[in-house]
Amino acid sequence: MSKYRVTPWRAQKDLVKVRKQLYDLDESNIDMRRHAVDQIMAWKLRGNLPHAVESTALLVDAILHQDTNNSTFSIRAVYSAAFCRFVTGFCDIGRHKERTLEPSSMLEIAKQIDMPVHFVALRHEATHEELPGIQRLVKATQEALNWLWKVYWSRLEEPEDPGSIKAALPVFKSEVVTVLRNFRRSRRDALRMNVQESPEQLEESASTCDACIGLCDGQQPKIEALAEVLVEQRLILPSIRQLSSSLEGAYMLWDEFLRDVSNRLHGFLEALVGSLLGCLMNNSMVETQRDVEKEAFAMWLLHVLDELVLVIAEDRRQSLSVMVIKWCCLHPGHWTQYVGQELLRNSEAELRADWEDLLNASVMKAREAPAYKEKRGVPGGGRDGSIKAPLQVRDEHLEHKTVSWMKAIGPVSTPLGVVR
Amino acid sequence: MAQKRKAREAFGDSKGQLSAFAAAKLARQSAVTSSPVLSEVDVVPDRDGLATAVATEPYDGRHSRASTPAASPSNEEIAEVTVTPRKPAVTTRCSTWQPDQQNVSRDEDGCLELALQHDETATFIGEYDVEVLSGIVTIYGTVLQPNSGLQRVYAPSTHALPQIQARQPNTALRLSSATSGLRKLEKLSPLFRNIWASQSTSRRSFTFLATTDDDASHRSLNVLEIDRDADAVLRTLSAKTSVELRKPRIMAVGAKSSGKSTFNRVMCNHLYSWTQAKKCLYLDLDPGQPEFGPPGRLSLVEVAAPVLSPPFAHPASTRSRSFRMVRSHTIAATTFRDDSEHYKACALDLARYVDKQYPLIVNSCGWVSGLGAAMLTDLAHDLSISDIVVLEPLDSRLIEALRSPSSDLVLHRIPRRTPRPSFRTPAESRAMQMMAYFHHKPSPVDGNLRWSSKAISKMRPWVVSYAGPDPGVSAVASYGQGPNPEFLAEVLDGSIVAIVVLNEPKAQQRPPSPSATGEEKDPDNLANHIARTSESLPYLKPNNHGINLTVPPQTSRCLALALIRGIDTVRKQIHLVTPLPESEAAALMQQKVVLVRGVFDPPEWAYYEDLYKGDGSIDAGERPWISKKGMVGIEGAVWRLRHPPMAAAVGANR
Repeated sequence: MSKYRVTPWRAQKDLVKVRKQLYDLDESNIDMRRHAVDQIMAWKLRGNLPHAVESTALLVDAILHQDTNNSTFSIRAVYSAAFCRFVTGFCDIGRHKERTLEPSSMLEIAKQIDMPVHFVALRHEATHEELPGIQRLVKATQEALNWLWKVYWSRLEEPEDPGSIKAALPVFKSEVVTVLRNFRRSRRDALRMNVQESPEQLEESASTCDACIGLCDGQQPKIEALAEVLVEQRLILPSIRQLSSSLEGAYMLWDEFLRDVSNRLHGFLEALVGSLLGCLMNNSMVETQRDVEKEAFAMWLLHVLDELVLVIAEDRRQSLSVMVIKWCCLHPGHWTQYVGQELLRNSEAELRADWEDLLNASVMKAREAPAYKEKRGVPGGGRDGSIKAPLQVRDEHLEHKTVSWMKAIGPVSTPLGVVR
Repeated sequence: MAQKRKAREAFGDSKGQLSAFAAAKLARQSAVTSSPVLSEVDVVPDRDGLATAVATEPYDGRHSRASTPAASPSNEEIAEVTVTPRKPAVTTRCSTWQPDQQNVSRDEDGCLELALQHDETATFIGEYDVEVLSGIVTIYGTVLQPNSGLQRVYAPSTHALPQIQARQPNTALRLSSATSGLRKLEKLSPLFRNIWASQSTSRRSFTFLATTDDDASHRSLNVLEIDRDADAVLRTLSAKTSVELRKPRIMAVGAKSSGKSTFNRVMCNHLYSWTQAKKCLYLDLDPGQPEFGPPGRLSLVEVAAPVLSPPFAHPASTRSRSFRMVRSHTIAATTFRDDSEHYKACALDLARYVDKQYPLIVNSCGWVSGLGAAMLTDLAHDLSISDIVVLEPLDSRLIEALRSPSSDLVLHRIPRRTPRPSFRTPAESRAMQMMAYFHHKPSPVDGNLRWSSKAISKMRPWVVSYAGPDPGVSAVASYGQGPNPEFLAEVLDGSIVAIVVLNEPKAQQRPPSPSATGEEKDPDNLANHIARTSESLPYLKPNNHGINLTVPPQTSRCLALALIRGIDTVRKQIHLVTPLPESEAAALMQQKVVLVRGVFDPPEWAYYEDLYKGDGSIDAGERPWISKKGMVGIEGAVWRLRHPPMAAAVGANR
């Protein structure tokens, strides 16, 4: 059964990077071993550091310490200390895992984990007899590093390369557009013949959903691209529409499918909302208030927040509302204001209390600054590594002072360790 | 490879029942005895796999770790992993009172009124408010009367359950349901799951238990018993407090899980009931399992109410009238072994604030050998302890050493009792205490504490500047081992720190001028030891011997603990979550603040909270420090890198 574990490194790629530095697999000629050892010692302070990683760092540190400026004793002592901790740790953990009343000897454990038995002998010697000579220690350290490579480092799972996913996106988009266009055509026909609830139609919706999920392959960038395509290719908009006319037809066409996808693809609904918000900001030649497309996107947004969100958990629903309202406050404009007000009108008192004043203030501020330009961007993204400041409140009288302790306002939606 | 897979199939998923090691051992034995023809490769599991399983474990003495959430956090699955109902080994009678038509006068959804005869006992599990309507009862060593008002009791299954005993004929009680929110923490961690009244059988937040077998969830339960020997000591000490002008200073000494903290708690309650002042002071010197705060803190607390709950349910605060925090320090670790000098300095500084008109109870560590024993002896002398309660067995040499410094020190002995099984490991207890601390809401002056079940990642953080003309943080101090400054930010991120304020007002802060005079070289002035990392994070440099500095306890105090939620290196701000009341946190702007990191347990519980709550899975974008098990090792796919390390390059020292 797959479970989670806490690691001292933020992401798997950090560990893979350290491996490269420790085992000198880098093409460049810069010795990064000191840096890697310091990095691992910092991880040690965070806790949960695998013993193999710690042992490797200690052994490499001993190698780096072998310098003619240091006394022979200190070189032998550092090698011995690193080696002893390496062997003792493996045997202790092995014994602990054994969970028997009569624990095996170190030697027995070493045999079971296929650790060369002379490692245990050398540890014994270093602990109870004279410190071994440098030559032997150097040789044993090298063997130990090779053994650690075999049992741990060579088995690391390589993280997915973000570059390769990115490169695959254009192909993905064109594939998914074809699937969705076909689906739309078939749904339109069904609606015209009033058979949209027929088993064939439900089947069609389900199989389109399967196809999209298959194409996404669980990769977040592709899930986002799917949402983007639906919005930016105007797939969810009727081809001809008057200002302030209803979107019922479009909802009928897409709801079943969207509900299905939101339910099964984690993060899809967030991505869809993000894409819709992004489109509210697009500059066009049409006068904002009379922009039919933007009105449609705003209506879709409210429809999603009203109806489709019901398929996701309460907590995610809340953070989705917060994401939208925050975006509306930060990007004041006709349609964001419309969406913000409508959203607050239909939501719980708590959200209203938190955001109403801010939303009203944001539009006033926008009026005061006519030069304000709407910027395009997708909220909730931030995966490009950019850091977005949390909203902060300032007391009136502290206006011109930097406030060194300030409570962030508005609920937070990022996981621990992520600043946006 | 085919052979290896075969071997793994042969042993199956040995989760829990038989470790891979035991299996291998067993297999080898049977291979030798029964069928020597069988080739060894067929039976011995993947040896590299075993080694890898070992290689992946941390080696830090915290072997028994809390369980982790399942990847698809469906409730059943989590329940399966974490809650294993244990059949109680022995049935214990907990109540002599039995409900019938005469002695239950009211039985409603949230409320139960009962009548007890003299000496009858009744035990309840869960959380409840108890009010005496007539007569007198004792609970947890304290006496409750009609004028005692409503008293909140927390009786989870993790701790011994307190008994209510009538001390007069015709005693009447009212118990009512309580909703503190503490129970809701079960949504965030399995540590808090299945420890309260079973909801399937009770509409109330508490359930009556006649025997330990009555429990609907079939948990192992203990009943809090105050035996004769302990009772005699309690009475002696209470009497002494009432009579003598010089109030006693009591320290219980005993090994881990010898019942020391329970004794101290009951002692508080006894003093509360049997002395006129209705107050005592509690010097909390056990950083591993403190009574009134999170692990890693030492504190002096004024206790002005009975203590009717386990430690995680009653953190002290400066505003609380019941458990008022007088002063507090931190050693940023759960043991003082790395810096016993600083520990002692903190203890002695706290002792200076003891009001001598009240009795003092000292909560010592359960470390009674070696350095720990030496510290106990020192403290007994330096804190002018008048009464030592020895919870046997204890090394006779330690007893001698404790006795020797002063002649008027009185020793009380409580003979060895059968040790109770504990339902949480020390590391788990610490995690529970830390988690409950971070979830408690700023306490009202009066009334009961409440807890928030909002995941810690959803709590609004404080945004604190660490650079610029008026920084909110003057320095970060590392107690014990510190990282290379290059990695300080990485170590801090997502970890627990203590918020320590210095006595000197902020206005005195002057940047050290380049023309250093003798005065500015003053080694006691911490400002002279501050350096900055590449992110401009200010930190205290180690001294010339490479030893990290500690903040002197005489001129500082610890205000609270905080979790660093993130560091914004662009705006030079630290985002932290702390249960400190808003007004107190905002007041930190006027003060010099040092954030102290050390060897607090890693806050794994915090990283898991929103996963347990079922909000978002790991696939939803970036989630630092959490990975699916099986990224390396035998459980998951094995990804071998083909080229081996270049031996020459690693071995040679360039």
